[in-house]
Amino acid sequence: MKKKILSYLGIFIVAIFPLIAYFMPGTKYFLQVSIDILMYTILALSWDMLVRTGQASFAIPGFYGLGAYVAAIFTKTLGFPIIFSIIIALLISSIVAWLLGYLTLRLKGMYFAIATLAFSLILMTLVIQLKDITHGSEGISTITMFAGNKYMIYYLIFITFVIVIGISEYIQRSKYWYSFTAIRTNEQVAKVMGINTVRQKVVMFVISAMIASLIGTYETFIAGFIEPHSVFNLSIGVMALAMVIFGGIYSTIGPIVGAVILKIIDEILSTTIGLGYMIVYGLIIVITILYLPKGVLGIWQKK
Amino acid sequence: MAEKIILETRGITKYFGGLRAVYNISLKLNEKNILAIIGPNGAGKTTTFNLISGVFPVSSGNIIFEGKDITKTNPAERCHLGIGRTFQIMQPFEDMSVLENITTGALFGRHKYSLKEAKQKSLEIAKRFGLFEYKDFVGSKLPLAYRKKLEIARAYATSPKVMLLDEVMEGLNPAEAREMIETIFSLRDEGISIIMIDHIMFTIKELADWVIVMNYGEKLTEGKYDDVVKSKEVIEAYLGKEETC
Repeated sequence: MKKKILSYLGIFIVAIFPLIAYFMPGTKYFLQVSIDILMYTILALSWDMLVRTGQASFAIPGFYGLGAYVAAIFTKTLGFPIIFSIIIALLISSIVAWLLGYLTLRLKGMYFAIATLAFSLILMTLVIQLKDITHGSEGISTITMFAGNKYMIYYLIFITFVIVIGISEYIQRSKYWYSFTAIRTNEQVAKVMGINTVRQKVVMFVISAMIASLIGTYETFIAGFIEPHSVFNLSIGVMALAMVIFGGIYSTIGPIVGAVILKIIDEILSTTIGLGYMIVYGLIIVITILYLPKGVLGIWQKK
Repeated sequence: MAEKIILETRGITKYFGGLRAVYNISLKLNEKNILAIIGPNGAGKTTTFNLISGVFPVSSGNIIFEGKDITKTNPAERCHLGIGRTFQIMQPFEDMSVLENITTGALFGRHKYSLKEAKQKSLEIAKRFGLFEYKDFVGSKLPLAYRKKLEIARAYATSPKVMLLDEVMEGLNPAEAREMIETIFSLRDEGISIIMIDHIMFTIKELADWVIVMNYGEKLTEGKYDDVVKSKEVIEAYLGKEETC
């Protein structure tokens, strides 16, 4: 019960945050940072949902970049409206994820991670090489959404955030918690217990890919400009993974807590220390993982 | 015989690369019967179970369940048809309590219960197999005899018509073994047909309606317990060996 009140309170604070930011000096900056935090929270959640089936994916940068590029090309080159290009990006990503999933989800552990990493790198290479369509490493500039209104952008992402939390919590409370946990801990037994393990993993992979792709399209329409090295940046995938492990794996609240804390530390360090802040940042992550294997939430649960 | 055959294998064979693990095994399981497969270590008994439950595809041969050829189906489909199995090396799902382990079976087994029904069912099943007091334990922390029970309870939760029991007697003390024998009889009385792999002869003698002896991946002989143990080949291959050690 207490947990429930706390989570609603948390969502409420996120919901009214722009109002608080409105009265603070540097409103735009705070809004931008909180938009970043929310986007990473969603990516971290999408990674966590898939890893509940035991599959640690490095496909997030691939699908993020795919979404970003499809959105940019369809609006800029083909003149589609934003909403249609987002839908097309989601459709293309789901088809690609479905194919990639059937090909790679039979692999486990390191092998799956490497196969998905290769997917992300191959997509980036393709985008750089196919200059006629993508303008190569120069990048593409396109329109922005809501004419760059940060409040509108914030609420669009907030709605997405709430929906993704809904999906994650649905998994935790439904029969899928049982099948995902079973697949993760012993896939062979899970099969004999009647669980269609490949299908369940493929469906989760597709959902997770569509979420990453959606965030990629948002990035395109927030920045109005994308280039391959930033949207296919592997650190997007690494960050999502680090946030999940930092906060607490296999849960909804863990990735959120991890993303919020890490992104705030990231922001504080990069503005105060400046150059070389990644060293301190990295140390914080390493120490947490060493001493809190269950993540930050592990401390709270022990009480 | 008027008895109905529920499960049949016709010459199933399994090669792992060049290694012949199981060769030309044909067996028939009558409804509500207990069939025992015995044989020395490495005789291919567990591999036979893996072929019947679909963990491995067969290299050749056919598996017939309730008159239908199920050779090409996957393990999940066989579970939905009504084949349940336990594992010799007990494999409770980590990160799950005893009750959640059983619930998983009820959720995805033959009846595909809803979450509410499955939770209800799992409580009943935990009580039935004497696991109720351990229901919130993590599976891997259970004492051996209870882990064996959990293996059976979880397989039972999938509502099987046929259960494959892989060495459920192994490592049990006499009192626990006694209880296990009663459990297996109660499953049979409920209408479940059983194939069991075991080494302990007195339990086979008591339980089995029919015994198949395997050695080097092949069927050595089969018959009633009393006839099988008198067979010279069996004494040489199996019982004789055990007497010397």
